[in-house]
Amino acid sequence: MRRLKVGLIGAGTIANSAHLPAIAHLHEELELVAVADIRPEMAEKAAKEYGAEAWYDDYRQLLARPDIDFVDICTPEFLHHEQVIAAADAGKHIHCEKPMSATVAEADEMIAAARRNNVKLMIGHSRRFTPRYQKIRAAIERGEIGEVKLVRENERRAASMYDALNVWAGYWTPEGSKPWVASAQFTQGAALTNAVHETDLARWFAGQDGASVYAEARITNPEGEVPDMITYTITFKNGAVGAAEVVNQLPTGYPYFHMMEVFGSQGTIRATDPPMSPYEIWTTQGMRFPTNFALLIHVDIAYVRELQQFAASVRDDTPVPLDPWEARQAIALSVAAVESSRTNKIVTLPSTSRPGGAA
Amino acid sequence: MSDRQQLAVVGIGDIARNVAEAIRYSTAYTLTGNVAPGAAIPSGTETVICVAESDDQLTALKAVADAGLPVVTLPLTTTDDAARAALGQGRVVQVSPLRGFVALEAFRADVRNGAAGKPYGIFGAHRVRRGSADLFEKVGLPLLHFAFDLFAEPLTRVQTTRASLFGGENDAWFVIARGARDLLITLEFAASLAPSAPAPEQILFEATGDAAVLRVEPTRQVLQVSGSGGGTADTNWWPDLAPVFVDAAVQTTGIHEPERELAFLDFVAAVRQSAERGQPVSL
Repeated sequence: MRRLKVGLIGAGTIANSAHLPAIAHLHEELELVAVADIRPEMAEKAAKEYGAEAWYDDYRQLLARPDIDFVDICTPEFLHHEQVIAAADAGKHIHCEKPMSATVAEADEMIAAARRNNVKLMIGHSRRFTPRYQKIRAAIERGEIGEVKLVRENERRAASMYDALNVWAGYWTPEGSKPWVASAQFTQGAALTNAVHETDLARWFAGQDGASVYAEARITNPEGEVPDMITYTITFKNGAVGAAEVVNQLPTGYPYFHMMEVFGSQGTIRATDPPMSPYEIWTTQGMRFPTNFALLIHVDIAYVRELQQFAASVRDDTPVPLDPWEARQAIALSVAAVESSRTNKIVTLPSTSRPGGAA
Repeated sequence: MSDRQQLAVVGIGDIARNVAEAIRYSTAYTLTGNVAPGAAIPSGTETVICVAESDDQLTALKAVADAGLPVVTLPLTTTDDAARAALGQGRVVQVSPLRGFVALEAFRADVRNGAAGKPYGIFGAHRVRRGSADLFEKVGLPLLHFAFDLFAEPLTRVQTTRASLFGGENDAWFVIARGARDLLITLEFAASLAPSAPAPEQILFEATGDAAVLRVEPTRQVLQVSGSGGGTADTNWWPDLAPVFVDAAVQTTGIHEPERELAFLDFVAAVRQSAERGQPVSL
């Protein structure tokens, strides 16, 4: 099997916590040859730690290398549009971290660029490759719960989770700005950074595009400029409902919890972390969950699977396992949720149809 | 004369019977009687617990008001002028029947005592079996009131998505409300549980804040039997709700805030109005 040469763009949090370890795990299939980051010290650190021969402070230098088979873009969403199009124009296949983009128009242009240049583009919606969610989808496809009527996932993260990631891997903090995840200049907040998982999963399980969405959002982090909490209700075209409440700034010690429930015409699937926690500690102070093993293990597996399957599609010239249109539609829902939370109105989504042929 | 509180129960049906029974066997209270809505309140009564349903509620409250007694009632099912007038007569306090769950009572007390710190949001869900009748009155109102009662923060906006998902008309409700200090309340009540669900009801509340997250799921208490045939059967194993509800009701009579009672009616009216209009409603 030919090892594919990978160039990684953006050596920050998600690269260090997920993508670089996954590429290293797949060392028999993938070879990390170069890393680019606007912070040269981060590019150098990642390159040295993961055995890449070169590092750059400008991703264009990485794209100029003729030996790279595909790029793995791990930058914030506001950079994806520019970098994906540049990579496509450079003839590189592209694996890009979610969320796909900051707007739907950007997503459309990214898909068009990939088609124009005949390169593969896949957005890394890791939960599509997570065993828990794959099993739910498989049960739905087998008809075990009939027609999906309601999908709810509530997601809870502790503020300390971000602190830990920040210390370890480093959120990019542009000069004179807050870390990009908290800056209104660079992101629209939780609706995109992580609630895009919920919009994508709801749509995937419902098997429908969204018709309308209503959302309320708020800032709980005193240092933040963008909402880090959002609650929304999606009505799908067939009348099914998707709902989520996502909170990202919970007290230190709170585990990384998800509560996924799918109600169908014939039955129900529940996959929720609290009752599944395999490790509990009871003390005079009460009970605590040191960590949530179930999902974290799955997350690690997910990134490996995601990159492995994308690499296989590049190597074998087969369709990518997750069409970028899916990510585009998740962006449409998340961006509509942002608009709803800003205007306090129900936002109706325009009818769209998937362009013919996969990128 | 005993120093036990003298309680009368107004209402007919299972709930009234259970509440009356709980009082009868309580060491803290004496039951003066269980009467039908509109009937005269037994003499000696100090407090009335009204568990009359729907159409009978206002009739019952009128009779109690005429007797000049404090009354605890299930959340009112109507929000019109007559309901508002009923709340304005004497000392009428609404109480959610969910307060019969001891775990929810503990949760409520902790939340109201500020255990969550600076509050971020409330999530509450109450699911019942498909085909359950009177979903809004029997499931929705108790859920709405329990959530409303957790914080004193006035609500500014409500949006309701109402859907017919599980074979009944309007059998799923999704409510998002915003507080004046940005508290986000997310509520779901639905007749969504399949006939094979291990428990006939599923209740979950979570309160999130900067100091703590409180999570309560009182209906997870089940008795599980794994038989020799290989099958496993779960049956609910919940404590009797009525004694805890009676305690909650009696405690509540000491807190009479007419404006909050009316504000709850405004909340309920907004939930309904939003569902009918398909648009968010400002309060």
